[in-house]
Parts: sequence; C-alpha cells; structure tokens
Amino acid sequence: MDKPVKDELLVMQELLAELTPEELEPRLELQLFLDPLTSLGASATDQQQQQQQQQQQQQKPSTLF
Amino acid sequence: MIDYPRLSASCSFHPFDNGGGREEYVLATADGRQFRVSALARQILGRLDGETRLDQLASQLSEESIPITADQLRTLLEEKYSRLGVIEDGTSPPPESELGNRVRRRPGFPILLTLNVVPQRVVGFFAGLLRFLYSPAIALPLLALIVWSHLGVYRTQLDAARLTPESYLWITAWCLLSIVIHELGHAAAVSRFGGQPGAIGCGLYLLLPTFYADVSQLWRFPRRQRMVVDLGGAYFQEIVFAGFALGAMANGSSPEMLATCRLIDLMVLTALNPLFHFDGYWFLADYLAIPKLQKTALQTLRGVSRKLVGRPAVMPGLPKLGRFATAVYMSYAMLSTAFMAAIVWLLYSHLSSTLLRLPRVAPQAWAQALAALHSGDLAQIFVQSMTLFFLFAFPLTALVGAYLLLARCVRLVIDRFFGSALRAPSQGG
Repeated sequence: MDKPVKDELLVMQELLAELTPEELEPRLELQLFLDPLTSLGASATDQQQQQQQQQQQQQKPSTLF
Repeated sequence: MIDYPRLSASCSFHPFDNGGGREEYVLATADGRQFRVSALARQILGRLDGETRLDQLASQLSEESIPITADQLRTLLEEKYSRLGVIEDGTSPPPESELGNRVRRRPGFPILLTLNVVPQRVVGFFAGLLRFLYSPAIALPLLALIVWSHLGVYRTQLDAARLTPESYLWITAWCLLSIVIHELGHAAAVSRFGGQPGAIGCGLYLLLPTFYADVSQLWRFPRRQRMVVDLGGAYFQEIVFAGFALGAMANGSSPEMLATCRLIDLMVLTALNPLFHFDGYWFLADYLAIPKLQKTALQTLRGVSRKLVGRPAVMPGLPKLGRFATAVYMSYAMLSTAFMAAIVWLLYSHLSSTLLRLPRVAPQAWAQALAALHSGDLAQIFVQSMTLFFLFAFPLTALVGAYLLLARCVRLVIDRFFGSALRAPSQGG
C-alpha cells in the first residue's frame, strides 16, 4: 500500500527539482593588474645576478690547462 | 497569497546551450539577473497571464500528464519564483519599475569590490567600432603578426638595468591601457555576436586590483560564441603586445616596450589559468557546458571518493561529455582540488615570509616614499607609492584569503556534523 505513495512523492520531488530555477552568476571577465615593479623587479634582479656570475666566471683564470 | 499569478512583463526567455542535453532556457529579468530553467518551467511560467486561476492551470497541466495540484503549484511559485521578483499578482496593477529598482546581484567571493568605470553606453560604442577585428580576414593576419612579434620579443635580451623610475611610470600606464583593451576585446566579441556588452570597471580580487568586463548576457549565447568571447580579451591584449613589439623594434629595443610586452604575456597567462575565476575558467566552463564548474567538480570528486570507499554518493548532474571532455573535466577536478589544498601551504609560506619581513621593509619603503614626496619627483612618488601599496596588498590578500578559507572550512564542518540539528527548528517554523 505504501509503494504508490512513495512513487507519487518521488515523482513530485523530481517535478519540483525540474521546475526549480538555478541562478546563473554574473559573468565578469577579470584581468588582474600585476605590479610591474614586483614582476619586473624580480626578473631584473635575477638578470643582474646572472650577469655578475658570468662576469666573475670570465674573470677567473682557466684551470683546465 | 497569489491566485491569479502573472509573469512579470519585463521577463524574457532565451534558449540556453547546455551542451546538447535536454531543452533549457535562460529566464532574464529587467535588472539583469538570469536563471536557468527547464522547458517545462518555461511552459508553466509562460501560461501565467494574470487571468488564469491557479487551480485552472493545475487542471490544464494534469490533462497534459503533468501531475501537480493547485496547492503544489502555489507553493512552487511562492517559494521558488515570487522571491525572485518575477511573479506578480494579476488582480493588482503591475508594480512600477519594481524590478528596475532592485539592487543588482553582485558577484561574491573572491571578488570583494566592483566599481563600474566605463558605462555600458560608451563600452557599446567602442565595442561596435572594434568588432571588425573578429572577422576571419582580419583575425588571421593579426594572429600571424602576434606569433611573429613574440619571436622578436623573446629573441631580444631585456636590459632591465636601463629601466628608471620614469620607465616604470610608462610601463604601468601601457599595461593599464592593455588591460582596458583586453576588456574591450570581450565586449567587442559580445557585440560581434549581436549582444549588448555591459560596463567595464575595476575592483578587488581579494585585495588585488583587478579590472573586469561585464558580459553577463553571454549566458544566452551558443557555447562556441561564449568560448570566443572568453578568449577575446587575450586576443585583443596580444594585439597590443604586437603593437609594442613593433614599437620596440622601431625604437632600438626600447626596454620599456619590451618589458611591457613581457608583462602583457604574464597577465594573459594569469587570465588563462582555469584554476582562478578568470577567462580560462569561463572558457573551460563553456567548453564543458558546466556553468558552476568548480562547485560541480568538487561534488564529483567527493562522490567518486565516497563510491571508492563503498559509501552512498550523490553525483552532480553532468551534461553528456565525450571521452576527451571527460578527461579534461576530471583533470580539472583533480587539479583544482589539489590547488585548493596547495593554497593552504602557499598561504602559510607566503604569510610567514612576508609578515616576517614586513617590520623591516615597511619603514624603509615609508622613508623612501617620504623622500620621494619631498623631492617632488612625480615618477619617484608614483614608484614608491606602488611599492608601498603592493607591500601591504599581497600579505593582506593572503590574510583575507586565509580567513575566508578557514571560515569556509568551519562552515563545512558545522554543516557536516551539526547541520541537521541546526536546521531542524527552522524547518519546523
């Protein structure tokens, strides 16, 4: 006797779920502003360090021969 | 209690491209909010003319094998639609500009603040002017130019030692220009496909300055067009890259222009990262036809892991995905979850390092800013102000992020263990 009631409830739940609206969130296409100082400052420091290392290596007398 | 419901005249329906599944629509309100509804919901809402009684409507639906009583229909309309402001009582005159006066829903976390800077009318004008850049005859040569200019820029050594405080002023101005053009790229794509772009503005993504283009009307477009709009910003910004690359070549490898090019690429790559809520995320969401991609991905992973340990699991509804799309979706689900976990570690390490050095670095930066102010050198003042802002913005972003993450975890735990107990009284009332 319970089964038809359960089925009816299930059908009702499915129907309500189908009729429930889902909000679509506002679409903002974002673009972060990256700090040029931080972004370039790091690479500039790296570059300077690399250049210094290269210069130091060039100044060292070769030990191979 | 509504007996003669009427769908607000300002509402409109548009087909929703959900990736080939069942028929669905976008219900758009006058204030710009949009709701995804089923074909059946559209059918019922379309009959709400303010003259048909609810019981008449229910019996009409029952005749069409839709088993719903008048009371159930009333409950549905009152609980699900009336609070949205889309249903009116047919026995009273339509409320004057009720929907127009509603405050438009703002995007939530992690966008903390939004401020429209360029109004919709102005954006629409420029978007209309620039939409020709999407015609294939123009776009293909431009894409070739973008590739060629990249080869030129990355073959040239950037002499960062030549950059002065004044250089940073120019670089910042040019980067800002490229960002505005990025946003216009999205708007122009919307215009190209016959839509009306929204405003362009700025805001805070957590505490980091961000710019945005409102393209909410995009939900009404076919998926392919949505994907073009998502990539439109990167396309336009890369055209700016090509312009600066040509400028650098004409000006003896100008370090300012070369640096601007590299920053543009960095910003484009950041925007295309699908793990944040930027262009790449929306592109993936549109490709997979899953509007709430991150939430759905988390639910899928939770369901899969519960199934693996033999516990009952509720899997979220997904559109039909091919083999490749499934691989992309599962990769995203795992990567985004791993990223969320990694964020905890990143936040900890970032916070500990920046907060520890802040007492040492902040007074120096403050002294330098004061010295710049006394010197009256505009370039120095600008550079030092930027330094001070970002010195605090980054650790504060991490702090706010840590707080919000913790709050979310606490909410989840409370909901998991005490949710039913807390919800019980409200259900009863």
